[in-house]
Amino acid sequence: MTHRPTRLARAARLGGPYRAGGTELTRLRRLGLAEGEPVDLRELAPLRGIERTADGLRIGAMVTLRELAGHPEVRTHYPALAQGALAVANPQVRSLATVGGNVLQQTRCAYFTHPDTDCLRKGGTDCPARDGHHAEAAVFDVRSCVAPHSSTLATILACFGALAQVTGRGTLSLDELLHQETTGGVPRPVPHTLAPGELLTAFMLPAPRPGERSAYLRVSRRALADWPLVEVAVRCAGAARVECVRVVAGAVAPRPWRLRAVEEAVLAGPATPDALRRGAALATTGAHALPGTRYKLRQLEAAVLAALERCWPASQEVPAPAR
Amino acid sequence: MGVERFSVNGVERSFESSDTDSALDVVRDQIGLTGAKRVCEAGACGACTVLVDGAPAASCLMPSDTLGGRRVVTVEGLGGGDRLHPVQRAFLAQDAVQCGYCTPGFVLAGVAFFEDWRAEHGTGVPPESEIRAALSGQLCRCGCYLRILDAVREACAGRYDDGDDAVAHRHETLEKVTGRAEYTTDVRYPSQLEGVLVTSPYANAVVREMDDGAAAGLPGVRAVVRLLPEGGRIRHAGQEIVAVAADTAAAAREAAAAVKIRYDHSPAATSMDAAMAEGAPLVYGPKDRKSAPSAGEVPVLFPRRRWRGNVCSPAPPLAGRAARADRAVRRAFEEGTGAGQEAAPRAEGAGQGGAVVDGVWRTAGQSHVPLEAHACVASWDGDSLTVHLSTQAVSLVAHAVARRWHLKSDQVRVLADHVGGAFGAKQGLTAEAVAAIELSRASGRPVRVVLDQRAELAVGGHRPASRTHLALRTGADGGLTALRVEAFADTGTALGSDIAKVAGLLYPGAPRTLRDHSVVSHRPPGKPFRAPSGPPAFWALEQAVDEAAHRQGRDPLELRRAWDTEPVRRRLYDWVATATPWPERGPVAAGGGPVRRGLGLAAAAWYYYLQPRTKVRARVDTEGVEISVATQEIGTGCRSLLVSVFADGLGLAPGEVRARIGDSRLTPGPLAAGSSTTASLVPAAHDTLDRLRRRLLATATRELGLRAAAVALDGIRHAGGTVTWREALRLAAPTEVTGRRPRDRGRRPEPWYSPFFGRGQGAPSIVQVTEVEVDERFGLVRVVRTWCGLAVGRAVRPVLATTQCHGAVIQSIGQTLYEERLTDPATGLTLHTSLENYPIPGIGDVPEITVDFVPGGFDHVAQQAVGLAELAALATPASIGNAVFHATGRRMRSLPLDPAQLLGEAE
Ligand SMILES: Cc1cc2nc3c(=O)[nH]c(=O)nc-3n(C[C@H](O)[C@H](O)[C@H](O)COP(=O)(O)OP(=O)(O)OC[C@H]3O[C@@H](n4cnc5c(N)ncnc54)[C@H](O)[C@@H]3O)c2cc1C
Ligand code: SF4
Ligand code: FES
Ligand code: FES
Repeated sequence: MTHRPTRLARAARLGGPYRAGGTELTRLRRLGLAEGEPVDLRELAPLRGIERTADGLRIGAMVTLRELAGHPEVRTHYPALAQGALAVANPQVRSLATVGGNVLQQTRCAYFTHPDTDCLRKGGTDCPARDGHHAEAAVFDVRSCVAPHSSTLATILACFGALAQVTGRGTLSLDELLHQETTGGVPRPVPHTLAPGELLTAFMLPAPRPGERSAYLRVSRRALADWPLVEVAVRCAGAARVECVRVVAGAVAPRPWRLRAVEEAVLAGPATPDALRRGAALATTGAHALPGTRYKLRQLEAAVLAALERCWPASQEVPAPAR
Repeated sequence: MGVERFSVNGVERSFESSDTDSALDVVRDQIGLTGAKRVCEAGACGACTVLVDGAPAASCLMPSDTLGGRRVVTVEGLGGGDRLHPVQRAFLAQDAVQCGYCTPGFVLAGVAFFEDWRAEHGTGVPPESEIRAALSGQLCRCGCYLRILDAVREACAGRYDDGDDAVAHRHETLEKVTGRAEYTTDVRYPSQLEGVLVTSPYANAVVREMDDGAAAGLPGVRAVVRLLPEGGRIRHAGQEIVAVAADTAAAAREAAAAVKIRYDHSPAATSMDAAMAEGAPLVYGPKDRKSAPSAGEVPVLFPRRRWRGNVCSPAPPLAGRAARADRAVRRAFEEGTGAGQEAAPRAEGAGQGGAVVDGVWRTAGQSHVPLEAHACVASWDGDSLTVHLSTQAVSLVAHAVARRWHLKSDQVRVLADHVGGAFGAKQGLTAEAVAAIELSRASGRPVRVVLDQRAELAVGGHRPASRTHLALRTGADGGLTALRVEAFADTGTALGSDIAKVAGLLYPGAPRTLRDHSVVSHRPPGKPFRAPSGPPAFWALEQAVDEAAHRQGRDPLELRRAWDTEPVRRRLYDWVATATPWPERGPVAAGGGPVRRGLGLAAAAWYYYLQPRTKVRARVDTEGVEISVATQEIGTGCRSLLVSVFADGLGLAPGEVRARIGDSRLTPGPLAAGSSTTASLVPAAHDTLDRLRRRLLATATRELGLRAAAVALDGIRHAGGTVTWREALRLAAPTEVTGRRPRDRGRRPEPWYSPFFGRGQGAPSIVQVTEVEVDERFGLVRVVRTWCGLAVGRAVRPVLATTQCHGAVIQSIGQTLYEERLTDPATGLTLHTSLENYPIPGIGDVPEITVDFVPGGFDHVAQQAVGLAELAALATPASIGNAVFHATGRRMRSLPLDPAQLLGEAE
């Protein structure tokens, strides 16, 4: 029997498995990885809706990607978020999938999804992808599970400096929400850090600065409805000079990966094509590609450059990834 | 479980919700609205799409207990009363349906877009990019996307708002756009059980012990059968061991999980390289080699074969023409170009001013994944057996079933009303059918077995990966003087490959050595896939020819004109010069900037196969004419071909002619293989038509006492006027005639592996020009446009033939750019679990496709009807490879063209 709590406290007591849109939970349950009676979050009013607040925008965890992509406030003030939401999956998934579920989703690694394999994420002792097929793997922090975090929205929300509201834990950054280390200092191969009973209720986005722009760029093989190989979100302000900039990459690390070296290189400098190029060249600083993912380093650098150029267009239009 | 209510197609209904079922389980299985299809169960294909409160939703990922109070519309509920929705009508008129398995999802996504568009823009014409985005969640393996785009656009623009229901190009489109078409997966008998297979997680093992007692005792379980005995050998992961039937699929899955199997497993050869390595574990011992299935279109017929480890090769010719050619080729290459080793591609002057182009070309394995998985519903009634099977060979399978279960042919009936795609993967008696038949016998009830998509991807079928060493030698005058092709096919546990042989089909004249090797490994068997062995052959050959032209500084078109003497193709080369932008093609790698365009050309030829024993029966009754033949419709439009022959020939409306196919009890007809359906059916249908007209002439003359009566186009001419065919039919009813496929004129077709299959004279050919855009920043290739010129005698129904070509091009784009079967090297498991992680082309990846039929040739074939379903699959990869070279100056040698290769970062 599915539980349908109407109050947060009750939902927290039930402990999960929580079900938002259920698109991901259905998959996990078929894999036998989310047993128990589902706790449906639909009746919880605090998880719904998108509202303007005193210091920004509040996006309820239960907002669907369809709503998010079409919301006027989001489209105007957080264009990268609207673009990213529209790039996720396809219309018939976006009408079900929610913001919270997207950020908290498990990996899509084929080994994880295959019922006849064992791996770190399923409680096993090693990562078969490392020596096997891993063309979609991460290029940063691959000490443990080599799969990247799959959430597009997490990357973009991190770029906007969004904070997650979690029952019992207060306000968390995306990093705190998604990343935890073992005593050995290695990332734990988990999709997020929420314990049973902890509910994500909303994301708080700071108000955009004056003149703020943002861009989302996705590199994928097929033109539409494909998973990204590399994705980049950039938020910035300043015209001739880079007044502020944040660059976060997705599909390349176990969590949204902030490219500080790039940010530092271009910050406060002139926004010339050359300067942007020099900055983008630092995108792979600290990367450690596996044999099958070296190509991602090239894509990452090019994607960062293209995203920066979208924020500071030179004379001519920058072509989008060929599709 | 709880009872909830929702509205479905305007009717309030209650349903049983549970926390394990999906909305698809409710809509499709509980309520029986089988227009919603179960395919990927992962949100990736759109076949299960329904509208929930007006928005398209992936019902396979939607929990059933969220349906309460919602308003659901399925494809069955579209339109009003007897009226179709304009989008459905547009699908009929634009030929937007092939096998039709994806159609309900596309129609619903199209309707959702239509309604939004109309609300905002009225009957304005929507931009193509918006339609593509709206349909981006629907996958079509037949590659019908361009027709679908046209249909949705025209519907939005108001072209199908009123008027009568459009005339369909295909006989069965109406059933398919309304969700009424019943596929094997949709068949449901009242007491039907669900069967599930237990498969091996190991690639190389022996089954030591099986304990299926606990499974058999679980509630709802009705039968457990062993498909492999204790001591049986496992040769690939995913091999079927036990089958379980229970009242529900969930109970059967639970029972399957309770079957305990103990294996002795050993290291496995999980790749071609591993299988060829020194000391590799052997897949077959000398005694059991004969049990290997065939990966080609035909059984393996090596006259003399030789095994070395896991490699099966033809023995080299000792004498005769082939041996002389071998020697000539060896002399031409003056030894030592080392086709056996990983020779780095090179071109060098080899004396006499000529050159050698030598290289190694690879292609990855490609899975068929028809949207309808392998599926069977078997039902015994005493000693008779009815088998509903998703197959491309009702007759052939009926024979195989009769043989295996020792039945007389009239005790077996194989039925396939509609087949949701096949592409070569559904020709034989495969595990799902064996399991369903055995389970049905053991339980005494009808049993359905449908492969889930993981199984479909693992064992359902694939085109073997390949490695081809190809060297061509040109003389001082630039002519071709020798060709050597040595191809290794990665056939899994199967045998058989013709890559080198096929590469020898073009450029007749020069001596050639063509050797084909099958490398067996502990992986699922390869199967024939649309033009088996063809794409790898031309991927190698046509890029090597392009390379030769480039070295000689010649236009690749001119070089082909010089090398290729075949008149059919020479007409196609003329077509290239007039009908494509080829003449304006600039120099190689001319464009600057990160995004470059290029134009590539490739030619290919194929065999003309036919099934000489095909017969077609026509029965005249009071309702019109019924045509029957034991063939099946897998998306090619063969019902419509049949109907059109008789409708045109007798001046009837298509509605007055019915076609009955998909039943092994009917007059013996062709299996859908080798593009031979058209070439077999159409001449046979015309023969039947002639006989029928003569019969009508005789009856009319007798009944009406006609004088000087003779067959004419519009009816029977006689001294006193004309009796129309319609009148003549009325007079003759009931009557019946059977015609047969006439022999071709001239030399007889060679029988090809059986008297039922033949290879006729002549080579259907294609020349293709493709434009690509290469994004050098990200290593991405996009196909912008392609022009196909085909020489296939006469395209019998050009609209359907064009739709077929689109499909072949699009599947080929998948092979060229995205698709690659991945096997885990450690375990031998096929890593793909669904269309979520096996990437086939979507609607965003489809270029503009121009198809021209260049008439002529095949005068020796009745109606000049030869097949074309495979042709456009042959040249697409090489035309793209050549275009990438033209754009970038870099030659790609491996399929697919993934970003790692394009960026020069491949492992
Ligand atoms: C074909 C396809 C393509 C896709 N492509 C992309 C893509 O490109 N980029 C991308 O980012 N994603 C992609 N996705 C993933 C998709 O976005 C997710 O499936 C979806 O967003 C999950 O949302 P949901 O509401 O259905 O989550 P659910 O399935 O309901 O939940 C997912 C997980 O989060 C937990 N959870 C959900 N909400 C809460 C909460 N409020 N508090 C605590 N725990 C919670 C659940 O317990 C569960 O473990 C794709 C999915 C499909 C099917
Ligand atoms: S990458 Fe992670 S999810 Fe994939 S096999 Fe390794 S541990 Fe498992
Ligand atoms: S079956 Fe639901 S999307 Fe494929
Ligand atoms: S017509 Fe689309 S899958 Fe066959």
